Amino acid sequence: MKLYIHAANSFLNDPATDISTLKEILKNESGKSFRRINRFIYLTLIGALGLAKETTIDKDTALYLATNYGSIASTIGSLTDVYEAKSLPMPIDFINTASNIGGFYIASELGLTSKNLCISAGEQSFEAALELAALDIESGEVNAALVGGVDETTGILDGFLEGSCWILISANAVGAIGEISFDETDESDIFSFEEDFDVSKQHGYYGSYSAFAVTHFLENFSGKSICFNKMRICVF
Amino acid sequence: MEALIKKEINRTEKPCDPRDESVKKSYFGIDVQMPSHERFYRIIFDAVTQAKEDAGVSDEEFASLTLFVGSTSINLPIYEDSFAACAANGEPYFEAVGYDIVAKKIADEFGIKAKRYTINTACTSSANAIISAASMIRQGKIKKALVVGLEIYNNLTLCGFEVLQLLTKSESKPFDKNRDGIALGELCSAVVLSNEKVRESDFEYLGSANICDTASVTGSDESGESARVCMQKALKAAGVQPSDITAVKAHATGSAINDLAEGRGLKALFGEKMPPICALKPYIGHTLGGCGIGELVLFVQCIGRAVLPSVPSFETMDEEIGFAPITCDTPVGNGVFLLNYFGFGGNSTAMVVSNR
Repeated sequence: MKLYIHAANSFLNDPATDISTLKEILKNESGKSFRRINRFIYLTLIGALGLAKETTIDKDTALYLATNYGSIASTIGSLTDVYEAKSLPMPIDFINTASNIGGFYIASELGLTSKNLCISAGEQSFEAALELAALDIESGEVNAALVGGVDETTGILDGFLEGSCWILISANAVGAIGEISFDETDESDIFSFEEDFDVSKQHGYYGSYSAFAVTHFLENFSGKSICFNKMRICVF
Repeated sequence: MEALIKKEINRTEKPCDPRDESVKKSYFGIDVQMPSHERFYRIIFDAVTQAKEDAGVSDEEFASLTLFVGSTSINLPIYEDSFAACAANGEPYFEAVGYDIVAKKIADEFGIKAKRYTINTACTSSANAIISAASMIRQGKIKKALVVGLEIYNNLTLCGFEVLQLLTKSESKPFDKNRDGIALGELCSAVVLSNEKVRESDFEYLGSANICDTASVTGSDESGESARVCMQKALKAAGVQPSDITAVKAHATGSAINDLAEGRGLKALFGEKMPPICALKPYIGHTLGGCGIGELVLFVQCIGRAVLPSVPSFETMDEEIGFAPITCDTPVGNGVFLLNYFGFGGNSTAMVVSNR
């Protein structure tokens, strides 16, 4: 099966960046200020709305948000409220512990009304989200899919960055910047993942880092192909 | 890649222990216990073992099943156990385990080698897990799947729903005029989905829909339009008409806004030809992300016994909703059934199954 990639956006961030800086970045991306959202949702929105600025996204586009650890900072914060401060968590903090809330805010901003999933599969969370998106496009349930990988850190993982990286895919080849095929085992004529493109060594994106592997490749390796986890990405 | 997350611990205080009388009070006297790894995995492994035995799948075949897990809190009980242990030992770190940890533990315990997927979409989580598994089977990518829905007790969920003022002060009363909130429940349910009918009593998955209702982070579109659209899309995907529906398993949490939204959606879809409406949360509580599978299992088992269970707590019809769920156990034959699920983040899912 082959799908086409129509847009890609990478957002990597130093975990030491404070929330007010993320707020400013998001304001630049979206033109508006957001309230009652946490770091994970800021990251989610910055990555997805950054992509949306560059292309047209139909209202019936489905959304697949991949994450390894989810909204972990809010979870720790709320657990600290309950177990250490012996108090109830703040309402908005508790709501935002649910990682699918990031998908809600994207849908709300872009007017998306279609399928909206939050998927995790360890370090292959992004690949899992891509698989499910491809499945739904192949079945005809979905026309286009916004697929992203988002993970935050809590600021103390040396050498790790946090990130929010997104692609827009569909079965339509017109205007595509690349293509993605699944169940690929032919490894001839491909860019070397290990030697030329080891993103975990170069960038250390934490959690669903393969999202960045894909978006970074699309943005920087025109005319090349890469094959990993039985997926082959070709950049036009 | 597992990571260690630093947690600044206030060493002058012990962690919150819900068994303390002072804490129990804030938990409304519910007899709760500290979450533990042991209890958490025992419940999950028991459910999976029962599903394996019920499906009659060999060890070898079970090991080849693609695994789907759906849950809202997923690993929270593990975090709570770790958090408490960390604090008690004066440790400044606890392990961040990721959402995949539950699926990985199930895979390790049962020797499952195939891929695994965890879906986290609040109260629709395990319903969406079933849908993804069913799609994969229908498209011939896999032949069988193990799908697990769970919501195991944890203090943060209870505290969170309390602080949101969503908990009932009395009992779960879906669609009742005097409903005042939800009663939480815990469960783990597991099903084996297959590309072939194994027993005469097996149900067939006909189709489904998942949409995003952006009216509010925590509540549904009160007009009921989003709920109607979701159900309508599910019926279309299943190739059936409203008049084909034998009965509905409503999401029916007992909360004011969400029951109103679902009720209006049902009314808009079915009009005056409303099929029997069931609500299962008065029996098992709201099991959040686990209810997708938990209520499916309970519902089909009831139908297998040829009865639709009544809503025992229902007393007074809400005129704004305009109909009552069934109030006495009702005989039912084979048919086509609609199951609804709605969650935080606007996640809305409807699924159609049949035993015809």
